[in-house]
Amino acid sequence: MSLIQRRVLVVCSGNTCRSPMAEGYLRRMLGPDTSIESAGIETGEGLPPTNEAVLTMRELGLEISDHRSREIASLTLQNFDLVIAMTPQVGNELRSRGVDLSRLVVLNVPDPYGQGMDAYRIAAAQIRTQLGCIFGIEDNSWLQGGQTCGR
Amino acid sequence: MDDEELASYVKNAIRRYQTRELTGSHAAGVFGKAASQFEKKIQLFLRGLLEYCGLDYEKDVRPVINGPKFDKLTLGNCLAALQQAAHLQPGRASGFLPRGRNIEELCDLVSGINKVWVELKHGTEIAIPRQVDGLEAMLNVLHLLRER
Repeated sequence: MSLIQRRVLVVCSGNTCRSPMAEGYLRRMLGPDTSIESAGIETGEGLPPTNEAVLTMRELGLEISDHRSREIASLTLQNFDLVIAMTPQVGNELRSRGVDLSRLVVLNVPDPYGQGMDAYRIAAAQIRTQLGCIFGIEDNSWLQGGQTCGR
Repeated sequence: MDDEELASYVKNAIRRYQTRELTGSHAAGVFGKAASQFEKKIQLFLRGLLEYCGLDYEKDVRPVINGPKFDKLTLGNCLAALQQAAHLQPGRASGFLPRGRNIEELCDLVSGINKVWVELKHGTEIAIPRQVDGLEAMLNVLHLLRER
């Protein structure tokens, strides 16, 4: 899938854990030619990622501490070429807001919030694997641990 | 959100927490959304209170609380300003509230909410019971302000 000059949006519920982590991964995976943003279904504007999300990504060599939360209501979803939902429920919400299936990819990453650092590490590995499958980037050796695509 | 909409949002959020419709990062996001709107309401209330007390933010309050410009006040700054107003004009400040309510009661409620809000703004995970306590305090304050 070629995403040169395209805009990608990653969406979870609060935009403080999973979608900022995914945004960090995608920036590394896809490079500067693709615009990567993230948002939450229902959240306060301007919240930082959880400390656990920051530490988990830092362990993987990625820095997301500058991220600040946004709500999808503040965005024009039609402006994005690809919208990635972190769960089927988020996917359903995005569809109800007019994101058509041709632009929507739905992942299945459980919420690590309140579950401790290991849950964040598992979520990071799931995000990495599922994004790698979507974008056809199976060589994630620059990251630690994780799973294979299973394709 | 206007006052009614915010009170309704907070009340509904408490119900959604209690039915476990809201959990994890979604719950924290909802608390953050409510708290950021609540912050604006308290800022508006503070403006009215200072005017009622004949106090000038720049002259009487800002130097003491070491605060930012009025439109940049955080909830914590607003709390400090309310406390300063109560210190300078105790009777008058409570007179701005409904009969039988006092400024210290309001400050206690706002202080509890602010503790949770500050932690959230620093990336700390907040347990659900603390979020619910904060939302209930928010609802109390909004009711109190609406009684005026």
